[in-house]
Amino acid sequence: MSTYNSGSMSSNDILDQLRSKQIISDQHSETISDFLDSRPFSLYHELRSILYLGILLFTSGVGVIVYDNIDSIGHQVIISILAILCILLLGHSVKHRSPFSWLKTIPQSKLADYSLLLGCSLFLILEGYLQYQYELFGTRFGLAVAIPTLLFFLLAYRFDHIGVLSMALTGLASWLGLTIAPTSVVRGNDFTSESLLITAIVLGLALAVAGKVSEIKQLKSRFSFTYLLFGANLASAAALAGLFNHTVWFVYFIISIALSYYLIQTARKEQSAVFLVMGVIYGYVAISYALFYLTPDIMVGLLGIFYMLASSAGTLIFLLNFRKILGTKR
Amino acid sequence: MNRAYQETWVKNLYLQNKCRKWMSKKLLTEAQFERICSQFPHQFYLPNLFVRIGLFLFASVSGSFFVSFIALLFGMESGNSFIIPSIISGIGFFVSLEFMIREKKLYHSGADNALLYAGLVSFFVPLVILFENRLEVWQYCLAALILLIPACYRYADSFLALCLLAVWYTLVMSLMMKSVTGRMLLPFAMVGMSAALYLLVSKICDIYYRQSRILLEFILLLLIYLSGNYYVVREANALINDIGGSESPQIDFAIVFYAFTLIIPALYIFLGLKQKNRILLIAGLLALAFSGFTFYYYTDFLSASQATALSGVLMIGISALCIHYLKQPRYGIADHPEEDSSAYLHIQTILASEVLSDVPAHDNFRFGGSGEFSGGGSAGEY
Repeated sequence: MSTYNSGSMSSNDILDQLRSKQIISDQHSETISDFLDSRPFSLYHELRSILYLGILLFTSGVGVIVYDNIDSIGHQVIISILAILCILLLGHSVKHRSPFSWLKTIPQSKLADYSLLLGCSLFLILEGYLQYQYELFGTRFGLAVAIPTLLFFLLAYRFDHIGVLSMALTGLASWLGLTIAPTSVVRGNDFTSESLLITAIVLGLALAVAGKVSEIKQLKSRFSFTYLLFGANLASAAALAGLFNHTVWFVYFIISIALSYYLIQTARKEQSAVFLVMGVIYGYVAISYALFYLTPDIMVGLLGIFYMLASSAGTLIFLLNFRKILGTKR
Repeated sequence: MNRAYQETWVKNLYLQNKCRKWMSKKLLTEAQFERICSQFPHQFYLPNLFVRIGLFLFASVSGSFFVSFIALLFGMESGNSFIIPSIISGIGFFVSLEFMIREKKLYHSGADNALLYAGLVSFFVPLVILFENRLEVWQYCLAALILLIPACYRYADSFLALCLLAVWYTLVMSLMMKSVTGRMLLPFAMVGMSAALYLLVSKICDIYYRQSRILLEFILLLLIYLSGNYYVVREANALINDIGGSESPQIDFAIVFYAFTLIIPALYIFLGLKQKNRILLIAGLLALAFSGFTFYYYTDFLSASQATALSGVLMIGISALCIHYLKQPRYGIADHPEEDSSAYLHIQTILASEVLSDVPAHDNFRFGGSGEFSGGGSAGEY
């Protein structure tokens, strides 16, 4: 017990504790202790982080190099190397593929997932370059975006790759003139244009539905998180922008609230904290804005502080007790 | 003064977490784990990371409106009259902090962090108003230390520990900058002090301060390296002595700093692998990346994009080789996935959409290298 009081807790201290309460036998304790001593040091996350960061750096660098050297001799060489690399990488993923399944599959090689991702990024660079230099698709820019998008969707489902799926979703959004990446939804999109705003809401809702369908039908149900995250985020941000900027604000208000409600319900079913917090924040902003909008101007200053104090404290209480209120376990 | 959080619970929580890992490796049965949970109970409210972020945000919002509410009650005309409302809200923050910890069983759950920071700021602001600009930097630092040391002791908050370190370094540096000898010895003193502090901090084995200790160890390792890094020393030297011009001048003892920049990353990585110390290893990897940058900065045979692509190739190549090589564990090092890595997968999803998919845009057909690349660093999970 003495070690317990001093505050330090090594694995051996913990084993002593367990033994003293007779939860494990001396022999069991020895087995655990032996296992811990002989256990190798795993570099799994470190190596994959470096690999992933390397892919990001390489594609960012190459993306610029290709255009920097557009008139030099070495340039054809660079392009050929890129094309060969792209084929090799995708070939590696194909070679080590698992049979197709609507459930989760595990590739036969530890690196196949990463070669697929890098291959797809290089494909984008190559295709963009071909369009820039040779106007491969002429002025049909839509086609230039649609082709990688379609390809990525196919690859994502065939190889069960969430990263490639999110690249496909990004492509789909940009085909419609939108930015979908979670952190740039707000500043990347020009929601003063109402048609773009409606497109965003429709696309966002469609993605949320796609997520729901893949979950119910068990068609790559692990993709449903990505669909809902991107879709709901896009639709909610667009609905809020509509609430702030456009005359039919009431419609957008209802959409915001419905989305928040759906997110909180999903959070309840899936035990997912991301959707809970998204629902709470978007819902809170929508309701607060609508209340201030309806309050006469003279009252705003006075009510403002009281309202903000009471409502944010109320939300705080909700978040502190949400397990009880929503009846979830986590 | 006592510690704010129930110490037994903190220990039991750590014990439970450790045992949960053992259970996932089949070292303990579920029945045993259940007995452990009932024998070593805790009642902390420990929500998921995202809920904690939400709690932090809403506590900050309600905190700032609480301050403006108090200020409104007292009528705020000039700067000085803000002193009393600020102190009152500070007291309010600490009272509610203590209340929430006791009644709501918070444990670094977001809301308590926000209240703690708000309370400390509310007590520090009157000091700044009262003395306006009449005090010197080190005197403000001293005042901040008087607030921070007991707060760190009682609440064991990692961010506060980091602030404490920052204030301490500012204090020492501002004192040393006063004299010429001090300025000359600055890098050596910094390396020495960081190393001494690292040894001191790594001796803290109390579980109550575990999170603070891990963060400080990591930062101190980086500080040891940065204090002697050639780029930092050369540029800081030019900045301190106010030497203009397009290029900073060569420094004295340059060879010492070259060696330091080269050796420290290798040493960290080697020791990290040898002692199975993940903090050392990750600090070493980051140091290595910065050494690469230092080398690139003072040589000019590569353009920025070439350097980026080349470093990418190196990172892909080395990590792929290591993954291949470690198919079988060697020298006590392996490449096995640990427990649940779903959080890590989600981060990858978001990164892929942020950086990789700059799909050809409609108007301006050019993409890649948008320059907006905020590398996350090889952040590991301890």
